[in-house]
Amino acid sequence: MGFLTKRNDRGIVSGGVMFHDLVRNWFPDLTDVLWKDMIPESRMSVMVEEDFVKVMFAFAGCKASDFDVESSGMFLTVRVARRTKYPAEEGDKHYTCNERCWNEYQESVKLPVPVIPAEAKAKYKDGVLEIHLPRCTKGKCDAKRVKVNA
Amino acid sequence: MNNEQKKMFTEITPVADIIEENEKATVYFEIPGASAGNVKVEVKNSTLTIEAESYLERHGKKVLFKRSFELSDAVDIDNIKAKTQDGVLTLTLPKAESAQVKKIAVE
Repeated sequence: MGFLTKRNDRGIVSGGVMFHDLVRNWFPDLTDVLWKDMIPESRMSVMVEEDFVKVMFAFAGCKASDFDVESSGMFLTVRVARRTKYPAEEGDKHYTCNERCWNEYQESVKLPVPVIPAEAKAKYKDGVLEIHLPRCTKGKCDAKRVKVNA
Repeated sequence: MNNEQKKMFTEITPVADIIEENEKATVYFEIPGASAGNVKVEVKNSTLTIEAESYLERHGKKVLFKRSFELSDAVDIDNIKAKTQDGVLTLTLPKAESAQVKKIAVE
């Protein structure tokens, strides 16, 4: 870790093929059970309230304009592309640790209840995008009877 | 933070970028959901520890971002600066004068 650190609390990261990579190929059905914790967790959390659905999407270091949010009533998709320039290495400036994601990222979720996408609101604060989606309540999203003509 | 308080949180190691230069190192930690008031940075026995309480939840508990680094003697501990913006904690660790690389002109 250069001058900054002698070691960090993440331990040693080794490259190449790991044991669990081999087992994943041999017993694909077991991997979800055995290595559940190693599957990247979703950045989204969905909370259903009485009148609305609140979705929180954790993605630090962005601007509100970096996000693209789409909803089709039952599905929500969030795309993010940082417009902030990736700090480049130049001169004596160099990375000794580089773990943050600077690529484009996209995640979709099936909402547990139908919502009204046209009335959705979103705000970005402290690295978290909060999306409020009003739920379809009686009267607003009632099924419509379609008359069948002869 | 005592053990009782620790049980209230799900502890997560935040991802970090470290950029080193001649006079300083800059460390960026991603701590979404934590504002400046909920971040603690301390140096004890040459170990730098950051703790940030987030309002995000995981497994039914609030998230606590926590990570430690052992600092070398080259860091000027008294002049470490910290700021948060958009869920990113930025620490500036200046190098002690004696540890900075000085170019010597050859006559």
